[in-house]
Amino acid sequence: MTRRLDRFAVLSLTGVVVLALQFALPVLVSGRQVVDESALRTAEAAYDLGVERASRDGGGDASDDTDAARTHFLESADAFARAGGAEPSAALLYNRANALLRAGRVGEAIADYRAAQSRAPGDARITANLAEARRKLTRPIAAPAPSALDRIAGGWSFLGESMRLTLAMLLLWTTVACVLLRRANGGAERTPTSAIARRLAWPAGMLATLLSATVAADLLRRATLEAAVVREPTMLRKGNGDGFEPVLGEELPEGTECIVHESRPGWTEVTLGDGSRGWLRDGDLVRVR
Amino acid sequence: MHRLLLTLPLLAALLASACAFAQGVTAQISSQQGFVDEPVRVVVKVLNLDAFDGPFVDEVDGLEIKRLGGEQTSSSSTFINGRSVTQRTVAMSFEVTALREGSFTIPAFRVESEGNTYRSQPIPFKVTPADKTVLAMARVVGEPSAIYVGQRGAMNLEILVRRYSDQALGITLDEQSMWSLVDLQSSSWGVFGPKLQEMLSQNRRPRGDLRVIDGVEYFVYTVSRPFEPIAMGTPTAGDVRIRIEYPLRLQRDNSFFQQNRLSLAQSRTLSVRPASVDVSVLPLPEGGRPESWNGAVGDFELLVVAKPLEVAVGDPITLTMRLTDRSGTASLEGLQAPAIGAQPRFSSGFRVPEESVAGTVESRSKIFTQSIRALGETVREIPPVEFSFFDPATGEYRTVQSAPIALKVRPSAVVRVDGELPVERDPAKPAFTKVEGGLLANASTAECASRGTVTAGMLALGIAPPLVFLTLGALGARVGRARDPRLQRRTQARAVFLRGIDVHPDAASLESTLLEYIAARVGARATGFARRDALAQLAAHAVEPALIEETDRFLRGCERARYHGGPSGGSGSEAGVDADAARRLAERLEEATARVTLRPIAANDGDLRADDDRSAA
Repeated sequence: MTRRLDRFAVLSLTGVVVLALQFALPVLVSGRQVVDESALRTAEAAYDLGVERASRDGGGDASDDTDAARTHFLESADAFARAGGAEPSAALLYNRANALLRAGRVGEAIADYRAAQSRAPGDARITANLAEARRKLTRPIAAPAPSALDRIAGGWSFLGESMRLTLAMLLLWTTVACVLLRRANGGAERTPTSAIARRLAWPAGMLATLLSATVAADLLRRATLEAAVVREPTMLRKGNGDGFEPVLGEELPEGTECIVHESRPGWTEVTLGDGSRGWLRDGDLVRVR
Repeated sequence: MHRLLLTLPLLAALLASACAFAQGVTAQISSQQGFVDEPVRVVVKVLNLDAFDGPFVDEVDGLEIKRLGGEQTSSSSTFINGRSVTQRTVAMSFEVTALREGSFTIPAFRVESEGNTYRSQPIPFKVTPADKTVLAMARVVGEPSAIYVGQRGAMNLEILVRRYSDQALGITLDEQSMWSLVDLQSSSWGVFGPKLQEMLSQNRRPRGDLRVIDGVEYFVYTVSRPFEPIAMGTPTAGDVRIRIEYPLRLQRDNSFFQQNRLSLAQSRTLSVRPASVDVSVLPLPEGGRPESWNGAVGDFELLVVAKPLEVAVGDPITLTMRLTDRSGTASLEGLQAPAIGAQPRFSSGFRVPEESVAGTVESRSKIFTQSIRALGETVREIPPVEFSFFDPATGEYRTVQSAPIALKVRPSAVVRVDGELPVERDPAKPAFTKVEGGLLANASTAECASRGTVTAGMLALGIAPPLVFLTLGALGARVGRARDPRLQRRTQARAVFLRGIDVHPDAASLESTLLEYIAARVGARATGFARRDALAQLAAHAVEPALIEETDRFLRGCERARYHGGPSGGSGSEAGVDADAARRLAERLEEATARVTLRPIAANDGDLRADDDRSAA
């Protein structure tokens, strides 16, 4: 009996150590996500200045204030981009999109809102400001319909990715603990403790698997995102060159959203929300990353 | 004589060489007689100087000397006695305009090069009063000539050029030819410059209308620009000065390539400025100005449409107001919507947003859309909308009204919250208006600093360790069962036992099935495992004596039933020896043998004996 207890204690101790490592590692990994705080402060300060200049009325020359505000907002957008680095968070992308929209860059703003939304689909602020940006289009074409995965993701987006991963890890370790407890109590035998462990292990394991699957689905959703937004008014052409006939009689306005199909040197094949398919110059498009 | 013949060519070559390399400045005027205010061109040539400063010229009272843009460089090479001689000329143009009549001397033009100063010859210049014959003139007129602040009109630049006829050749120039005499580049166009540039970029030009003024034919070319005055007085047209090369004599070109082509044999450069700006911007009268007037000037018609016409109290009603300008002179861009919020009939029955409404221009109409809300169910109609404007045609303020629109307003639904009394809003008090659209605030610094999303690496790092742990555990159990068949037999013993007693519930089968179950649970061989072995094994594994005794009693009962016989297929003749009793006994044995640890199988151990740690100790 004493030997059995010792083994259980060792196992428990091992479990605690592993759990501690388990939770420490993601924290360590997330700590590597460095945000350039200096750039972030610069961005926020420039944004505030832009808002202040844009809100001036009467006194001086209105066009001077507008130009100055635009300059501040563009400076803010650049600084937000620097702050985020290669893997910006949804909040940084959202802020950058706000700055770009206030600077009049509707196309780039929509691209950033879309990128932010792919990271935080349930964020109401992003949805509201994206709708505001879309209202500014001069000749709007409906955005392409979201994919099935995007629609499903709305169901679990009330919980952030980090939260879901943390819960999944907790539940998985609960499952491990239940299995260990059952084994310590004689395996499949019907002691009260092992019965409780057995009843707990399965739901915990299933829920952990489900949560992990949603996180994996979010990763897949972002990795397969093939969306782009028109940066400058441009003609949608039937082929990858200026020599091809236009698909539509008018230029696509800045901010038109589309789905990317194929890329060739200097040109990209896209489909618009109304089903029109054609080619756009790379320089006139901004990809949603 | 022979020597003289040899020396003469040599002297000639030296002379030619000297002439070819002569350095200096020359000035040449197009005409030494001119008229007041009519420019005369002077061409200054710098000969054989590679680098120089200038030309400079002193100022002369009564003359305006201005250098024209650009310069022309030419060079020529000559072979004299086998030697190449090159001459380089840089030509620049000046324009001399006399401001009064009299005799003048255009001073020498100076050029400085490598410390030397080169001068041209001064040029005498006689100026007579301007010709009485008006060859060209310009004027700026308004359309209409008197315009009110807020009204929309046009400012026209009219250039009048006298039609030219060459009596000798019997040719009269048409309007296109006369327009080609206007020097577009050298002229200044003031506020009309952008409009003229726009016309030229579209390959258009002002058309000339032939008019007879004082018996003389003039072509009138008009450049028109829109004019929306914002302040009263006479507007400025900027620096307008039109330069025209007016012909004095024509000639026909008899060259091989351009035979019979007409060109100017002699011309006169005219520079005309508009004498005055014939546009008056009138102030709007103060008297009779209605309170509802908000700056509109024109002649307007007002049409109002409301939708929906059946609403609950507080529901929005979209009011579409179309203002159509019938005068054709109203400035629609700056036109403001009727201020219905300030009209008492609206403010008493409706809530009207205070924000100004932006309208859209369609042809000669401007459309405004405003959302209003009825404050009470007693409201029966949307009252007439008033709009005041100043009519320039009559010079008076006028007010137009739309027709009233019938409206049905029903009480609004009130939501009761957990027994609290419904709060009825006082229509007399203002209510809040929710403003749609607009950007929401930025995310906070803390949000920006936290990532929120995970990477594939983090996901793998998060779920892999417990999964590995579970997988290894399952594999370990599987390997253990493969090495020691007793483990699997022990795990499955209960299920096998329950299946067995369901199929064969007779006493003999119950006894053998229970013995097999006990053997499996304690890790003993089932072959030859008898009641005594079972009791001994249970005792060895510290099973409670009462349970051992009960097991003994059950097995004895089975033995008795087996020997004495009983109903075939029944549950045994002995009391308490049946399948249910066997199931209950097995349940208790399952729990009692739960913590039994099987002893590892030794190589020389023929018997598969079970032992627990405590008994081993």
